[in-house]
Amino acid sequence: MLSERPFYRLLRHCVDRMFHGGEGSGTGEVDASIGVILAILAAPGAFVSLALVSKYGAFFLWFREYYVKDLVGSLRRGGESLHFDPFTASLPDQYFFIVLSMAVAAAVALWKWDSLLPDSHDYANLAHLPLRSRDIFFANLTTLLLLAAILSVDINAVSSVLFPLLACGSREVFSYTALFFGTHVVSVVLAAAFGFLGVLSVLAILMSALPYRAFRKASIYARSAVLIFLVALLTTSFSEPAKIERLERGASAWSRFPPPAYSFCRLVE
Amino acid sequence: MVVLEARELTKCYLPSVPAVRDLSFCLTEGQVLGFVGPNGSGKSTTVKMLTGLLQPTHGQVLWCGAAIQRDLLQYRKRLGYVPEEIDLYPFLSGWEYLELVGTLRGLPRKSLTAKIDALLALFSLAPHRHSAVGSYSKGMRQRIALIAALLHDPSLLILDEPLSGLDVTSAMIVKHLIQTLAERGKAILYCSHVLEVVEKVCSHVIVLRKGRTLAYGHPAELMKSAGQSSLEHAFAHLVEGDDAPQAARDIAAVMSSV
Repeated sequence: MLSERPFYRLLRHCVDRMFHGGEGSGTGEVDASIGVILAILAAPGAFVSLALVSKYGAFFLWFREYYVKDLVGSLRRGGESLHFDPFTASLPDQYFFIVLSMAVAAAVALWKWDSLLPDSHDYANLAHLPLRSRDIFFANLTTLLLLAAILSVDINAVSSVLFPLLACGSREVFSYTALFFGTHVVSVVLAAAFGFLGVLSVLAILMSALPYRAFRKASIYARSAVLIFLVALLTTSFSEPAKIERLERGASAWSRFPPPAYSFCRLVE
Repeated sequence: MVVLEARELTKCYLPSVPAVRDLSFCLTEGQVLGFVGPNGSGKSTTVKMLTGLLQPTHGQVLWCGAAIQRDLLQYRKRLGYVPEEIDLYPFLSGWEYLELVGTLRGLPRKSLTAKIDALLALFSLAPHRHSAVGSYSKGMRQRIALIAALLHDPSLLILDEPLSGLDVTSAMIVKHLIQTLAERGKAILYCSHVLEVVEKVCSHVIVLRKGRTLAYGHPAELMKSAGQSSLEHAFAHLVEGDDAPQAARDIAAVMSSV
């Protein structure tokens, strides 16, 4: 059986360690099962998608386009009408989903910072067993890639279905919806993978460059810095899309550099 | 038959400061070799070299005549090791930990499950087998580590302070177990600071000091050559340590001084 093979047992062990290991493990800390964790991670995307019903829902579109227009007369500002273009309207939301996906995945990596890579427990328990070092590290790498993939899908599972359906609901062209759906899924999944692997890269660089004690001290600062960056990313996500729109008109190019902005640029193109 | 041989083992962490110097000994089937020495004498370094966790600067460790580095995996398949510092995964239960070790050693599932259940019961851990290791006492963790080292029926055992944290009953079981395993042809290297136990269970003893072999022989021979009535006194005589009674009086005097 597959589960009896040492490598697959090592894979399962790495998953256990990543979900249940780390500082404070086994000492009475709340231990959530994998299913609960995955459900919690999918929640933000689901909530945001549901909140967008008031923007894209058919009833609300009708209410804005017909009832409000009738109430205040024909509104024309600078030649613009109140006609709702779902593509234009969805640009800020698409950007936000990219940022949210990246931030949640990176937050998971920050949360499990201590258990992503083999540690002293692994050395103490596995080093004297008949296992090749490369098998241990390869199993850990495989687990990390699997985890990145699972996170990428899970964080965006609900929003990837709900948001495109909402945004494209007013369009009756299937190809448009399919293209929108595909673009959205690819961008948010890649954003999540980028967020997770980005934090992992920071961890790996620190671990490689610093002695153990310096690494333990630097970890606290590194995690705090990444957390502050993620909060800043989320809080500025509402103003970024407008800045990116102005890029086409020759505005400052600095907005291209933050990762979500770059992904968004490609998305828009 | 010689199972394990250390040939001129030397380890230098710093160029001019060898932790172990030219250590040589043989361990045969059915022999329990005691490995004793004061703190910093090189015991832990030697044990790490014998388990393949550390490369010697010079010298070799031979398993049945062949260098262990030639086929470390095969050597470790026949080796059971209990380290001095037990650092089990706190999030696994005792049963899960043993299942992990057994599976990683390639033991068949059916026999592994039966063995784990039987050994847990014999070491009085059955009621706690599904509790997290993080909640175990020191003695319970020590017993789990012992079971993990015995699961695959190793032919060579390296035990570093195996009685640490064990209650009297468990310690007696382990002492008798060591003798039973030796009678069945297992080769056992027993490292400990508790010389009373070493005197009882070991057939031969190596005394280490500053990385070198100070003495080697049967406990009775060491006691006779040192002119002492116990291995503990013989050890103190050999390593020329502090006068223990005088040191105790000095400590008590400092404690009660104003």
